[in-house]
Amino acid sequence: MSRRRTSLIVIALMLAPTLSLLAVFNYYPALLGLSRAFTRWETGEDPQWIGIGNFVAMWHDEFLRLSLRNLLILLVASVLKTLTMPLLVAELLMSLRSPRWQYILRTAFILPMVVPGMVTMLLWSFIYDGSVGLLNQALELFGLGALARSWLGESATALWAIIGIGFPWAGGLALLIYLAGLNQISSDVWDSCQVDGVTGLRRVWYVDLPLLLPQVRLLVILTLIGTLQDFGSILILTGGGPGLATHVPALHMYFQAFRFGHLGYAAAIGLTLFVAIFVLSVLNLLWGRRLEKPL
Amino acid sequence: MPQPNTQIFLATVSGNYREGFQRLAREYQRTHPGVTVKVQVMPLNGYETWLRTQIPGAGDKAPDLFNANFAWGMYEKGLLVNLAPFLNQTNPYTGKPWIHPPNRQFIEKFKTAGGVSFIPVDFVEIAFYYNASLFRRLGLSPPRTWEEMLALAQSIRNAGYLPFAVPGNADSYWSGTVGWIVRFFTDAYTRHWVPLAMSRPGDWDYDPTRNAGFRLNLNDPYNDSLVIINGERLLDAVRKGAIRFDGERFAEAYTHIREFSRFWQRGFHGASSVTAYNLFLTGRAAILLEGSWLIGDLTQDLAELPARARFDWGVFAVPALKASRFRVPPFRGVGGPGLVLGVVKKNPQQTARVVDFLMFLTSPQGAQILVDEAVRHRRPLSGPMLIPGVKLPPDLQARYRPFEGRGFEKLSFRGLMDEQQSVWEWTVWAQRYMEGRISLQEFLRRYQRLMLEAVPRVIAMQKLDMNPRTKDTPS
Amino acid sequence: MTPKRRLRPSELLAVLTLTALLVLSLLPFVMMLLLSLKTNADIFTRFWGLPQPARWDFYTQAATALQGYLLNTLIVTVVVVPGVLWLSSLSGYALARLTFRGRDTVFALILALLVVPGILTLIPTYALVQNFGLLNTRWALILPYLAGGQVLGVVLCRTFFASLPDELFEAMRLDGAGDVQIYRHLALPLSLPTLATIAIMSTLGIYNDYIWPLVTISDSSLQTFTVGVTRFAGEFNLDYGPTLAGYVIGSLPLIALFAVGMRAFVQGVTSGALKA
Repeated sequence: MSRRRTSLIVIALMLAPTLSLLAVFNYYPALLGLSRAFTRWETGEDPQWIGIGNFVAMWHDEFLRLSLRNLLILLVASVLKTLTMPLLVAELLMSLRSPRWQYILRTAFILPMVVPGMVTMLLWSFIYDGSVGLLNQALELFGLGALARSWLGESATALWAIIGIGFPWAGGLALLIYLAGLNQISSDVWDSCQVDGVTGLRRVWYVDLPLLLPQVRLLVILTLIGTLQDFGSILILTGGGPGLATHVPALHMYFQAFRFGHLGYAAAIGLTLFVAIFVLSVLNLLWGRRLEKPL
Repeated sequence: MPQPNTQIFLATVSGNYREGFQRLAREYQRTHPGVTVKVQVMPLNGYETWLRTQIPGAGDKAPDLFNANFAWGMYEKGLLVNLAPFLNQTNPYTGKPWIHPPNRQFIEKFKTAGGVSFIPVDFVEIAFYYNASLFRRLGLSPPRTWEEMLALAQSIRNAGYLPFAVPGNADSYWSGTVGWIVRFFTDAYTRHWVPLAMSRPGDWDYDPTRNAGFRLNLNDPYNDSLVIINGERLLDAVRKGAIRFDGERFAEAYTHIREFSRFWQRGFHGASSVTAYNLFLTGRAAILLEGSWLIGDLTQDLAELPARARFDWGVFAVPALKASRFRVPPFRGVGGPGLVLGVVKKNPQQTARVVDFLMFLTSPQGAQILVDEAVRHRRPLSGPMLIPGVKLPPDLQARYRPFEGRGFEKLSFRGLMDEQQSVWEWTVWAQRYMEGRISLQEFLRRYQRLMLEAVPRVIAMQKLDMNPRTKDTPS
Repeated sequence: MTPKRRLRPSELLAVLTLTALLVLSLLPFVMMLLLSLKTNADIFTRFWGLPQPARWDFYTQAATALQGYLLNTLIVTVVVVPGVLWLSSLSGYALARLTFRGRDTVFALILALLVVPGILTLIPTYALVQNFGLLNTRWALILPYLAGGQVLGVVLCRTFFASLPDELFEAMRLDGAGDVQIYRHLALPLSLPTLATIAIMSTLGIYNDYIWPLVTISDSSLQTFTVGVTRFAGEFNLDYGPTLAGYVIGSLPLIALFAVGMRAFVQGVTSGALKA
């Protein structure tokens, strides 16, 4: 390496804007988030150290406990959604032999990604609407009018309606990632499958899926992190209701901080969710290591 | 005589009185040479920010008059004129004291920090809108009692229609229809608690002209409207169990509300006020509990419907409950301010000038100009006028009648004193109760507990010492 | 390669399944377009029918109601995105091509931020912005977006610059070029595809963010599209048509962005994903 040394002043000037912004708006809040979780900190007041008081309160918080059940259902459902439909569509797209059609259909499937997230949410709240909703209209069209209801308005259906958003969950980032993974599988592999008579679902199960494990691993962790943190859509669609039917811990954190003014308690919920995300990421990493070992 | 080139600056957002304000300004200038009245109608978007920067910052260029309910808190900061000393002055345009009932009661209800920060012109209130065409077809007429209303709802349902369209989302429990229902119910069931919570001689906020000699009279809806409630006494009564939320009165009130909800649309917890309104507008729901401000929109929206979908409509007041184990007075109003004008503090001469204009504006002939111009330009009013002697078009007058004369709620409970955590927790359990997921007993048990838990939070938040003799409101 | 021939049954099945899924996926958006041209009465009486007459004026109404919000989002984006690109490429270059003590530590520290979730920093950042007196100003959006947006940007740029062959840089150096010239005339032009990906991702992030503007901006004249669109419906006397027209209008900027940068984005996402 015969690199000329650049003067430290130039380097400092190049990095200074980035590092100062990060220090103020990223590192400092992150550290604050860790420390303030151990304080009683109400809006407009100075924080007071209370040790693990907030975490004890969380343990006794009935609303938080009830919201955990919803979160678990949402986590399982979101992982299942990511693992099935986009993979199915990716495989079907790969089975088409016309590259032009493949391209056109792929573009069509990722088109909904282009619509702003909030517009999609508001559109789905219109779909589930009890009086003029698209879903009820469609049911009536097929003579199933008796099933029509306010989908987000009843405890029995609200959580499932939240899960149903984006049905048939076929496009988006997951599809792109699966396609990228499938494109990497060399055509020799599939050709030899063809020769050995390993086709269709058998090939998908025994050949494609093992080769796609890095993508699956990535999607699973992205989905879990996204679902743990997301509460904007629930806030817009149901506000966590009716009752507690769609309440989740992240939304509980938001309410504690921005409606009730309990910033310290909210920070403790935030920290707990961060720890959960961290543990899941580490587990995911270990899973990755184990997968790589035999290779 | 006013000095030459003096200006009164009215900056308003009330689109419905736009032309009225302009004409009022012209008339006033005609009879007051040398005074200019500048009227600026602002877009809703940004009005509040504009007020919050102009009123403290623009000195003499700030508006003199503005819609006070768009920027609460100005009075407490000392930016507005306390209008209390002017209320008993003679209004030169009527020859009588300026403000008298019912306007007076309305003002007292919204007194802030012991002073009067605005003068109301009209107010908003709720009542039941009904599809009169449907009522005629089914041979029904507006009910006179709560029980009649439920029987009527049953016959509407039997005829295959939805009796009531009600929004039931969390917004509605907090500041919408379900919140109103709970408020007028709990007001009626808790009137006897007013003496418990009102301020007494020696309390920092005691006012003998208002509290001394108060006798509970359930037959008079205005009976307690001037009474001052002491927050610490109220909290103490909750803390000590003198005020309870799991007693028989609340059990009965919530049983009535639940029974009422059997006639609402299915899944009302998912409905916003928009959804409920559409159910009514499309003729699917027969009755809608809404505010007086809806009259304009409803008239316009019905006119836009195809002829066969249009219908006649009427309004009836919330009818009184008869079947009760307790003496439950007729339900009172839960309304609030419509057009209310505040006066920005500048100098005594300017205040005198602005108050004179305001007296003209709130005189019968002045307010008549506002109404006439609004009607002429087909602009909807937001609710009944608070100025006696103003003539509305006959049909509007009739439609406003059910909104008027019912008094205003005093003590009413959802959460504890609007503390947001208790409001939310109440909403959660109330929604579960209304859905039939928990029993009345469990709901009331949880309600009592969440209110008790809220007491220390409210005390801490408002920095109270729980001694009613000392004033300890923050700032 | 298999020779071209007629569709096999299995392929036909694939095409049919894909079509069915596509119809289901796109139906909400098609209905959005259709219903956006209909009056309430038309929606209530003939939900599935074509609009008669088509109310194109709903689009003017919706545009009028939303233009302020869209403009606010545009202002924030126009300030933040170039800033993110500038900061990312500058720091990415320094961390990839310049040698100095502690370089790897600095990079590791930045990399670590990728695993800090927004849920941990939401409340402290809010308190911070409040202490700076920035609540309800555009700075409340611009500064955190700038800071947060560059994290991924620096990582991507650094990875890209590190992957370039050393010979390119040596050659320029021999010609007597300094770091600034190398950055401007070599690194920057080569990194355009990477920068395009970062630009699209930051724009998407700003455009789709709901919670942050919701809690920091209270004045609706400063509010962004994503929050504004949840509120603007009230201006239409509860009409669905103009509301849905507003959704369509609000989608146009992103559609335009993707029409230009779709290829770069897809490549960026898929290749970036494999490295993760």
